[in-house]
Amino acid sequence: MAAVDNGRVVIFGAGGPVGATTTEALKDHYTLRCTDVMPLEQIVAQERRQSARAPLPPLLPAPHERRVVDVTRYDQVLEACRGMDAAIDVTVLRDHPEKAFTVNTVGAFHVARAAAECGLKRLIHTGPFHVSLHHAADSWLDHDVPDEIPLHPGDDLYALTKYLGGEITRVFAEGRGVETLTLLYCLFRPREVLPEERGRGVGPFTVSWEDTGRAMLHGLRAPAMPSPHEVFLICAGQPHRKYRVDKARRLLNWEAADTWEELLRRS
Amino acid sequence: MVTGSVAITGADRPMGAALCRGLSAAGEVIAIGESPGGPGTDLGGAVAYRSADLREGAREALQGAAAVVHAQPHGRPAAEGWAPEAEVLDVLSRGTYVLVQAAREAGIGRIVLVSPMSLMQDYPADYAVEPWWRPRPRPDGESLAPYLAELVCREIARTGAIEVCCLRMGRLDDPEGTSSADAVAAVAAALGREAAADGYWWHVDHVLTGGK
Repeated sequence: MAAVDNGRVVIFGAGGPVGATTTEALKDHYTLRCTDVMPLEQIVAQERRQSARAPLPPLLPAPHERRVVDVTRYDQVLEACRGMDAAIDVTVLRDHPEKAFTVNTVGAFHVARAAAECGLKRLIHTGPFHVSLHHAADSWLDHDVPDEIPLHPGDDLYALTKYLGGEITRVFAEGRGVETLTLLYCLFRPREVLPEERGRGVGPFTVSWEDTGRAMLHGLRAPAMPSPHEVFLICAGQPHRKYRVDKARRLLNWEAADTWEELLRRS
Repeated sequence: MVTGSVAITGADRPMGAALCRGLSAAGEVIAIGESPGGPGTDLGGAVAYRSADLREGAREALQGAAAVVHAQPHGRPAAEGWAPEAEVLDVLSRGTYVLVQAAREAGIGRIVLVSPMSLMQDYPADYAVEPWWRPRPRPDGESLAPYLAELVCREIARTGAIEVCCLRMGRLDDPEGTSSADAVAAVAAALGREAAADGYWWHVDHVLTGGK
């Protein structure tokens, strides 16, 4: 499939912080259909931030659209994908024993199936890369961890349900030809460094909110991928070299602008 | 070696029922099915039937069990349309997760997972497919659901929290599938295998009587 340089893009989970920064990065390049299970106006009015410095979604004027979509309902997902060129799925629910499955796993099935049915040019799927899951088979001990390392979610509800959603997405990409980019994230933080944060370090797999949204733009605009399903670690390159960042640079022409030297160096 | 009652899920479907009949000849069996009205078929002697949606009632369903045979993923169909596809995905992914967690809480050390051979059907027919090859589910709910059940079991087993033996079986008593006798024998053998000395135990076998 070719790059999606312009056109219409639907975002599932637009009310969360990753959805917010994605919307911000794409709004001047695409016509967006921003969807969430909760009205975006309500999220903004109630200032439902994920954390103190996490972004809220912009409320865009027409021709952009806002729509309430529950990804556990295939009819709603299918309708939201109609007329689109690409879809971005940033939905997530972490701790609820039922909805973690119905959103992270079944929801991923609905998005992938609708993307296939509507013939979308590209699907960007997202999920977590847990740097440590406290069992012997996680990859915490390793360095230069590559993008394609198999995830070992253990019994962690959030990690496991998103892992299952990722596998579903891969099967659709390979079986139905939906070109899919899976972007894996772990920690987020603002670009701005507060004076009291200097020299206090940064998590090993961190990306700024601003770079997060920019990765989506690069994901849509990247040329055809080597295979129908490609996985990318989306984090800032850091001197400890725990995670490789060269694949996103090579295939997406993306790398993190924010690497926070002032957090890493003793002040 | 497992001693004590064996809980068998999917008892209201052909594979689970066959395992109930076969294993109850040698010991006590707790048959667990989704059907509230009973299994709808003969389950053999010394079998107690418990109706449960594993997503909600696994803990109660496993009371008194020493081992679990999770046969529900073998041949659990989805009806036509999108809602049944979502349902079968949720039943077999979340239901398996809740079942495994309930088994751990109950001190059950081993699960035998019975999964369909259809996960390997898209390899070319002349390939000698082995259990460690990657499954090839199709992009539909009915095909993906048992694959998700396998992944849930595999990833939890990888942590060392519980042992899982995954037996992929063909259609029951089909000339190209798995006979009831072979299914029962394979499950009994899996229940009886020595535990891993240390680390984790995730083991996959293919149980086919006449087919490939």
